[in-house]
Amino acid sequence: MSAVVTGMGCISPAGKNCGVTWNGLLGNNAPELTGISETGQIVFKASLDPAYDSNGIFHRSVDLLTQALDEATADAGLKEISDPSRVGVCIGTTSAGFLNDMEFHRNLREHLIEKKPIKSFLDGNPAEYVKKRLALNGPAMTIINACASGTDAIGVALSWLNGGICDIVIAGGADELHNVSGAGFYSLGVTSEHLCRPFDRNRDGLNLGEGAAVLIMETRESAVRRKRVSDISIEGYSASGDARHITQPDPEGIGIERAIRSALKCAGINAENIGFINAHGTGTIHNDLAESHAFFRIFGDKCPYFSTKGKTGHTLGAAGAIEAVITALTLRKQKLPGSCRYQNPDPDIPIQPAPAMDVSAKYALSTSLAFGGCNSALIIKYESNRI
Amino acid sequence: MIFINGFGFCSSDGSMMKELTDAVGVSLPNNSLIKSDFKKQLRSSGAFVTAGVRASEEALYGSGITEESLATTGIIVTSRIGDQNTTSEFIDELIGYGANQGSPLKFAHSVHNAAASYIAKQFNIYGPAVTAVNFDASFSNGLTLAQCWIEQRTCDSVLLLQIESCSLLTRVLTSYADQCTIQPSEVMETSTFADSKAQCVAACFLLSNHELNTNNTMKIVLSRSEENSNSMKDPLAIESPLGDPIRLLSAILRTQKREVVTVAGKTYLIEKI
Repeated sequence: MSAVVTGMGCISPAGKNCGVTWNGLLGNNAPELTGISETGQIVFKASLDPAYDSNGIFHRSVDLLTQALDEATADAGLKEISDPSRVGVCIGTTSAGFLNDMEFHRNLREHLIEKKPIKSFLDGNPAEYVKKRLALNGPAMTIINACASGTDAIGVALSWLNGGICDIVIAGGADELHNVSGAGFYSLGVTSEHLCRPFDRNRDGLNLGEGAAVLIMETRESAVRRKRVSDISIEGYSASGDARHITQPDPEGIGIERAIRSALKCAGINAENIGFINAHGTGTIHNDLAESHAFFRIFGDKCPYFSTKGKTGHTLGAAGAIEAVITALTLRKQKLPGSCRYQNPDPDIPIQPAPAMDVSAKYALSTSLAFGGCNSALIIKYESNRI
Repeated sequence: MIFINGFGFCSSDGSMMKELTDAVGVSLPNNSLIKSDFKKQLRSSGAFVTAGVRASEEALYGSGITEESLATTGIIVTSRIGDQNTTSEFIDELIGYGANQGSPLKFAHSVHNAAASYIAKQFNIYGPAVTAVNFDASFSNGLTLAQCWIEQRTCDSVLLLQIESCSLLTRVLTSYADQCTIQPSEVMETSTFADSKAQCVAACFLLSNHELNTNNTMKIVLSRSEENSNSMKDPLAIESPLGDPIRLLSAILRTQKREVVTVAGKTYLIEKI
């Protein structure tokens, strides 16, 4: 049950494309573009190319998605599609799933309905937007699973490919900085007015970010037909629920442990085959504690892990997809970027994140934990001799 | 081939299958009534979540699913518009009281996967859960994914739902999505557009790779078909924003032996055997 990845695109606060993003993960500096939200919290911004700025015609999430989409389709050589009915689209998001235009709601309170925000919302359903933009005719699904949306979109794509529903799936995630989500996370007390430091003893919350990532996933047969060779494949995916709390993860990380073990089984490998883990690692007390405990129970102290959210921020619906791309890039480089601003070990965290270091890894794991008790795990494989 | 082991339809005000069955002319046995009291658990959740939980209970009750199987069941929640009302109420607080005065409870419940989360918590379901929002083919996408999960043994059973709100805001968005005409700006007389307590409706199906309740005299199976749909008699006397799931539900209730039904352009065969 696997799919090859023939193209990738990414934009995040760490960089405007895949290559710049990975280099932007190194070191402890803050991302280039930071800002302060209405609630006084630090946020990380992505550098959207002006050519992709629709100036309000679409949500910014869709603008970011388009930039990543163009990079991915170019990378995959996906210019002409022979059978559009065999190409699906599955995109994760949070902001683009809401009609959250503040001015629209102000007018609504005065009994006025403005047309433009409605059109922007309806035209901007991410999966339907991509389907229309590329004149596709396969399934199009927008996943709104909070912070696991991007990972789950990749998982749905894998199901479609293995089920023979599609030959190619454009999968990914996109999300933007927005006052509403900023206010929401602030109200929950999980954001920080300092630069976040995942897994650090002094961590005090997350920084929201924005971005998008797209993976062109195909069956091996489709890639061969299109004469595309790829060194990256999605080998396993699984998801599990905590069934416990609407926002907080299971404190012991039981749900993410279940998802990881199931993903390993799906990929047909054991824990010792995993070369490294790209953790969800938001920088909140609860998430980092739960996740690290799960890692320790499954991998002991044998598997290095890191978090990239010190550089990208928490990009919500885009996070899982951005981190899948970063995981693939890290496999290619065989070098871990480390966890930005991690300095002080937390005695409650059983195994500390790894510094920037060289690795010899064939398989890697990327994890996501979300509101609603959703936990998702993705296993990515790298075969260097395929290029 | 997928087994339909349970189904439910309800609105958040508690009206259950009776409306639909009255329209179709079929009477259900008494086990279609709610048996347990969810009110305390659902008091903070809003109508969207409530409708989803009630429809799920309806589908699970009498299905024969064991606690062990339920624990690994998947949940797929689909919607055309999602729960815009709870989001709107949260935004109203920001407008009225300031960016740092939003209610954490309202925000937590405004995320579209809140319904799946409540369903999982209520019924102790630890399997995968996906929420998808699409104006086009939302239920059909969910049905396709449910089939993939079952056929690929991701899970043995899936709870597949569609939930929609009947608030004025949702009706405005839906009519625009369906390309009906609205004026650029309209003055409306009602005072409340978006209300998390506004009526919501939900339909739910428990789909499995085998028959769960072997005491049933009849099993219902669903499979893809190449035949033309003959479900022209659509007893949608009920005004409901649910389209495809109601069409499927009507066909299930109506058919004596077999019926071909169209769901978002795909045809399915329902057989009672």
